[in-house]
Amino acid sequence: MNLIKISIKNITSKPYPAILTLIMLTMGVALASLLVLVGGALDDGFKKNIRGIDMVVGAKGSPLQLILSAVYQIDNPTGNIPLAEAEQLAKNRLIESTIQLSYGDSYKGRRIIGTSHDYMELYDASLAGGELYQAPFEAVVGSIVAAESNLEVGDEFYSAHGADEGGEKHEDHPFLVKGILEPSGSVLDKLILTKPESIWEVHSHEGDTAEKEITAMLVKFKNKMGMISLPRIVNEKTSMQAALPSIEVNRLFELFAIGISTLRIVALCVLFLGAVSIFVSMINSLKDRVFELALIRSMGATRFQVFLMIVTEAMVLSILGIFLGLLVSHLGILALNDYASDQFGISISLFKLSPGEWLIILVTLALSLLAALLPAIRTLKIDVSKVLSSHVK
Amino acid sequence: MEEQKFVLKTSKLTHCYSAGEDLHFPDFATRKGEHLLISGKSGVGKTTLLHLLGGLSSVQSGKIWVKDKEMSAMSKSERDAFRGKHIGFIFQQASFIHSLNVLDNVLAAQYFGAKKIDRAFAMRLLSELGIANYAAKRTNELSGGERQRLAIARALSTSPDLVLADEPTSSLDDVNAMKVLDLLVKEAEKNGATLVVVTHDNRLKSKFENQVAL
Repeated sequence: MNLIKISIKNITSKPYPAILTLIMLTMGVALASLLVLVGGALDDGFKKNIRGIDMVVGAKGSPLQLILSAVYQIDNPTGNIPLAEAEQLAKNRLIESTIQLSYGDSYKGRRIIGTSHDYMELYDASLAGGELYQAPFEAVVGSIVAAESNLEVGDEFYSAHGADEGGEKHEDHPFLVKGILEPSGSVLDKLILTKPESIWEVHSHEGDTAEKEITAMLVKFKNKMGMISLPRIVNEKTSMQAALPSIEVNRLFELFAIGISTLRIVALCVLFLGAVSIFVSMINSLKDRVFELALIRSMGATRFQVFLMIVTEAMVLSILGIFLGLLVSHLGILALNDYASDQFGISISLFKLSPGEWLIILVTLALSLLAALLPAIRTLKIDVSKVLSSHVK
Repeated sequence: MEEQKFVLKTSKLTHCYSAGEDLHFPDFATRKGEHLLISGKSGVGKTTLLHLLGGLSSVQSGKIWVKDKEMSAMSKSERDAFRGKHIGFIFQQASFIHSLNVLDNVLAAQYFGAKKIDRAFAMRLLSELGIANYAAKRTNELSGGERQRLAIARALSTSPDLVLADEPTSSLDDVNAMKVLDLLVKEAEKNGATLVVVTHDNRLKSKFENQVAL
C-alpha cells in the first residue's frame, strides 16, 4: 500500500476520463517524437551525402539546383561544362581532390553516372557481389536499384535518355552489370555507376565530339582557404559555376523550417490539450472526491500527502502517455523504415531515445505537473471537519 | 501529572460558530478501557465535539489531552500525524476509498496513519468482524451492517489508543445495531483501545457505564 498504488487505483476505477487524457497525451508525444525523429533523420541524410564534398562545380544556373542534382541526384543538371576547363581548375593548389560526374541517362528512372571509382570511396561503399567496372559499358549498381529491377551480376540493360522513365532508349549499347553495391544509406544506393566514357560514347552520334564535357565536378579543398577564394575565382573567371553544399543545404533547410515549425506547434498544442484534459478531469472529479479526501485526512494523512496523491495521479497518466506515445512513434517509424530508407535512409532504434525526445519527455512531465498543481492546491484548503459533518446530515 | 492516567481529558472546551451562540462542553475524562458514551439531541454539537476530540478542527478555547499529549496545543500537521497514530474514527455513514477493495481500505488506514502495513493483522480483524470473505470485494457491494463492521476494522487497524465513533449505529436496525455495537466494544477491548461514542441513539445507553450528557 502506497501513494502510487492508490493513485493508480483511483485512475483505473474511473477509466473514461483517464482514457481521453491518455489518448491526447499519447498523440501529442507521438507527433512530437515523430517530428524529432524524421527531422533528425532528414538532417542526417542530407549531411551524410555532403560529407567530403566542399564545393561542386557545374554549369552556370541555380546553385541550389546544382547541389541537388550533383550531390543528391534529385534535380536536373544545370547543363554541362567543358572537361578541359574542369581539369584546369582541378590543378589549383588549394584543391586536394576532385571527382568528375557525367550524367543525363537513366535506367528505369534511376540515374546512370559516369565517374571514377573515387566516387564510391567517397561514401565508403563496398561491393555486395561482383567487381568494379573497368571498361566502358560495364556498370556497378546501387543496392536499391538492384533490388527493384532484379539486376544481378552478368545482366545486361539499355539506358534511356534523360533522367525520367520512358525517355528515348539508347538501344545500340547495352550495359553489363559487373558489381552490386552494399547498401550505404547514401545517394549511391539509388545510382548506377559506370566509366565516363560510356556516357560519352552513347551520345557520340549526337553532333560533333570536338570537346568532351562533364556534368559536374565534386571538389575537396586542401584547407579552409579554398572555401574563401575558390568559389569566387570559379564564378568570376570561368564559364562554370561553383556552389558550396553546406550553404545550399542550409538554405534548403530554412525552406523546410516553416513546415517543421508549424508541425511543432501542432504537436505542442496536442500536448497542451492533454494537459488541459488532466486539469479539467481533475477539477471536475474533485467535487465528488472531496469527501473521500477528507476521509483520508481523518485517517491521519497530511495535507501534503493528499496534495501528492493528486500530483501522482497526473504523473502516472503523464508517464503512461509518454511511454505509449514514444512506442507509437517508434513502431510507426519502424513500419515506415522500408519506405523511408528509400527516400532518405532513416534508421531508428526502437529503444534508443534521441536528445530531442528527452526534451519532449521533460516538457510533457512539466505540462502535466502544471495542470495538476491547481487541483492539488485546492485540496490543501479542504476543511476536513466541515466536509465530514456535511455528509452526515 | 494527573492527566497522564487518562486516555482522554478535556477542560473548559468551548466552540463558537461564526454566526451562532457559543457551545460550552462539560469537562470529562476517561481512563484506558473506560468506554464513554456522550449523548445528546441533534444540534447540541455532538459531531463538533467529536471532531475537536479527534483533532479534525482546531480548538478555540479550552484544552484536550489525548494520552499525555495536549492535542489542543498542536499545529495542524502535528495533529494530522498524531491522529493517524493514536486515534481511529468511525462515522455514522461508513465511507471508504471507492477505488480500493475491502482489504486495501484497511491497509490504506495503516498507510496514512504512518503505521507498518500489517496484512495479517488486517485480515484477522476482518475475519473477527465476519467480513473476511469480502476482502477482495469492492466496498459498495457490502450491506449497511457490513460497511459499519468494515469501518470498525479500519478504525482498529492502526492499533489506536482512542476510537471515536459518531452515531455508529443510528443507520442500522435494532438487530444490526446491537451486533455492531457488541463487536465494536469487544474488538476495542481486545486491541487495547478506549471507545468514545457520541450518539442520540437511546438503544446504546444501557451498554455504557460512563456517560456524559450534552
